Amino acid sequence: MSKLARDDEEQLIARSQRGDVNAFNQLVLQYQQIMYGTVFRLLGDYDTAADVTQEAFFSAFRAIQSYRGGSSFRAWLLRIGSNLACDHWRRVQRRPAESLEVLTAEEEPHAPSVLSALTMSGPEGNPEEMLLAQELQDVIQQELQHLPLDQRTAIILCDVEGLSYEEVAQATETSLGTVRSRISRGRARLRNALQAHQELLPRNYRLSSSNNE
Amino acid sequence: MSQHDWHLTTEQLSAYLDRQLSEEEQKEYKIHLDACEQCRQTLLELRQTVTLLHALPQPRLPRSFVLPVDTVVTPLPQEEHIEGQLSNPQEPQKTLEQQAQPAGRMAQGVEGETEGQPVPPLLLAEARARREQTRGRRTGRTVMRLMSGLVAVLGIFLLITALNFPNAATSMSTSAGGASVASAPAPNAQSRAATRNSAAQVADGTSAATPSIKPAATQPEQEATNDVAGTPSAFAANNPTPAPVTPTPRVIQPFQAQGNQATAPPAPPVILFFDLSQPAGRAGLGILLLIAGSMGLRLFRRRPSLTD
Repeated sequence: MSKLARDDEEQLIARSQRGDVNAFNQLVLQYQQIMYGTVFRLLGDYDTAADVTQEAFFSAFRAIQSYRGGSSFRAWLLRIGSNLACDHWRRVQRRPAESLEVLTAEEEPHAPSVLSALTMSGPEGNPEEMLLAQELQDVIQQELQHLPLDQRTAIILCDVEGLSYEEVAQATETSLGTVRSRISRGRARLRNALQAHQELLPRNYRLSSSNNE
Repeated sequence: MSQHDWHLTTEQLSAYLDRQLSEEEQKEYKIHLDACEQCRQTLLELRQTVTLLHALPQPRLPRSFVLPVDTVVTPLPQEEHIEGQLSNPQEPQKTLEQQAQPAGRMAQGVEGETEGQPVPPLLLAEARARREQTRGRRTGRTVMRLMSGLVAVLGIFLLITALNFPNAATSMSTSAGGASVASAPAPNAQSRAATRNSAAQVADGTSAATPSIKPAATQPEQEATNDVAGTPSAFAANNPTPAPVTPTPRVIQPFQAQGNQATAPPAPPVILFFDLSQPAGRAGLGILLLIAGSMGLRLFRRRPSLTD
């Protein structure tokens, strides 16, 4: 689906604010992938992510009048989604029996057809073309779930979903400084955690053993 | 090779990677990086980590998340933290929560939250809190914040009255025979009355309210005052020596004052063991409330982000 032009989006938001569900659904179609993706990466479970995503869109529609133009609508939506996901995570944390773990490869309904071997374009290659093996994806997801919730949210929004620092700040309702700090700490932790799984990493990605922070 | 005795922090390198720095800083860091192998290595590792994260694919959508066409919701004004309550028609927001919104927009960046912290048992606030609890955690937090603010303000108010009107709740003025009420701290008033009533000189204004006097010297006098409701003349009769006399007027005054107080307007209430007739008691309660209120305000901050 092609990206909505800015004024189209503004129109849709305005109509949604007047109660037009069809207009809001246009926005849902536009943003559901990134919402689902964010929520999934936060929680690690496909079904739960689907429930929370649906809930998030309902909440967003109910609260649409509180959206002020001028800030990123995407960040506004993801604020709602990530808040709900974090709430869910915290609730689940109190009931250890239901802790969410990354599903094994067989249960994933989506598994993109990736090669078991890694594909990497040349040394100056375009990172976007890189495909990760399923095992590596699982490990990254697992390690993401070991991050403290605030660092996890910041990393997912910025590094996984591509939001700007400004948008991350809006979505998490914190300052740029806080965003910066959380992102850097999350990255450092992730880097350290991934060192334990070096064999899965692309060959020239083997992290050195230096541990300077 | 890196001859540097300082290195860029992970946070700095991370910001450098994302171009979050000023032009100057960006240039500065680049210069350091060109000369420092260690930092280059760290930067490389950071970059690799970010690339890995970038490369995570979007999970495939299991279905469409569009809302049913007949969805009708009562639109809510400003919600800072939205709970998932599907298809329950929400009652219109009370002004209570709307007033709490600006208070909620406080300094951000505070992490950590806990729920269900105990609050000083103010009856009014408790009743309101119980009513509001049923509407969900979000509104509960808002109410807690409001209550904490009220508690803190009450604490400040008590403190101010304690500092400015130490005798406000008492009838010291009548017993002390016209000692000024407004600005004089209680001990001074009592000592002034003492000097008027007896020839003994009471120089220091140390806490005459509490009979913290050399026990040996005043024991007999104290017993005497306990029996007698205490006019200074009765006192003087019991105290032959001038030396022990000096403390005694200080001892007698509070008792005398309190005796007069019994006939005066009803004593102020005693809350949580703090006697509101005493400025120390008001100040103590005021400080307690202020601390409780501040704690409540911090605990119920809006942004609930937990660090594990």
